[in-house]
Amino acid sequence: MYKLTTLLKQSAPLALIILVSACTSAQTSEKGMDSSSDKMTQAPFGTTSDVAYANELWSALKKNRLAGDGRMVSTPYTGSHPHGAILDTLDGTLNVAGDRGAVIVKNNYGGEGVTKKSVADNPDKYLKAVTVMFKRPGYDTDNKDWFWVKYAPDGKVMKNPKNMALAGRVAKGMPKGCIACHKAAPGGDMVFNHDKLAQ
Amino acid sequence: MKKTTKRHFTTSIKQRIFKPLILSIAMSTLSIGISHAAPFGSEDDVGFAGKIWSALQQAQLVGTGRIVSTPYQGSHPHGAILDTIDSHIKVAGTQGPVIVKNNYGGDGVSKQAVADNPDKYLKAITVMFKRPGYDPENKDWFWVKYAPNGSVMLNPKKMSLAGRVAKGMPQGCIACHTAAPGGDLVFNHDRYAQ
Repeated sequence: MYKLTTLLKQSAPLALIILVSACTSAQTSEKGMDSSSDKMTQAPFGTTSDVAYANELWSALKKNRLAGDGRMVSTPYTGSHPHGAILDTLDGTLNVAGDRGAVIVKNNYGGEGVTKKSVADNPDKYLKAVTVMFKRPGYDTDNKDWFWVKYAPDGKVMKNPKNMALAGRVAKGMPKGCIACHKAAPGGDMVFNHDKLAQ
Repeated sequence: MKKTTKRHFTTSIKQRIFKPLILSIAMSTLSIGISHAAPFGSEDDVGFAGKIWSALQQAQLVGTGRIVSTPYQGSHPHGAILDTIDSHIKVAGTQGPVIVKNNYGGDGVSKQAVADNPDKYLKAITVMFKRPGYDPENKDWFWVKYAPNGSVMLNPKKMSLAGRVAKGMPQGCIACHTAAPGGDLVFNHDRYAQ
């Protein structure tokens, strides 16, 4: 009995240490997971659900011939950084995963020998990226509800140098990115080309 | 002798009256034939233009909620400002390239004004649809000029501007577009040139 009590007394601190360390480690790992998933859900763009929505958006664009094989092409014009030397931009309305909204599809052309004429003759040869704005009701009321994506010509969401997928509120609260630059657009609608969608 | 004269007289009457009559009937038949074979503006042409319009509506390329591209500076006979989209549509079972040119004009028209309110300045929609076998001499293009509501517009002679407009004539779609580089009757690009 004495022996057992002594053993308990002696091992109590050890047990406590083990228990505490176990808890701490559990807490750490939980906290670690939490903080990373928090970061994922709180990041303004590039989350799994942003990429999934971007994929739905691409499907809707393809269905309406606004992207992919046999896509419609409009008259190319001279563009500028960060889009492309030559651009071709189409405005329409789209249904995406139950949402209906305005869409702007900007085909970004570049590469050696790029001109308005060479793009008009062979658009797919010079297509470098497809940048899209889709007005997703309730998605980002601070920024006119635009969902921003940068696709590669094959429809994959492109990444920034930090390996973040360029889909969602790109890059809300940051000094660079779609939102930062487009805030300067006249009409307060974040659209440079027109004020059709400005209230 | 008398008989011969009479016969001669009859023949000469026949020649004087009937020949011109027959000739004039023949000529009027021919002219009916010609007007029937007009290169554009026939009932069939207008009917086909209606089918193109429906296909364009379905593709959201015309009508309410249509897709609009970036306006640019145009010129006569189209419009001061234009917005042109190339795509593919299926018309009466045939899939082919289509070029839709939105022609803008009116007081205060500018690239910015059109971009902000395209429907306000839309005056006409001129369309080229590649219809296989329709006009091999002119790359099989079917030409139409629509009013914004989709009705086919008329030229000053009240002919519907739909079909081979105006094949064999010194003015009209074909006459001007024949000068397009690449020999494809398309000015903006040579994507369809062989």
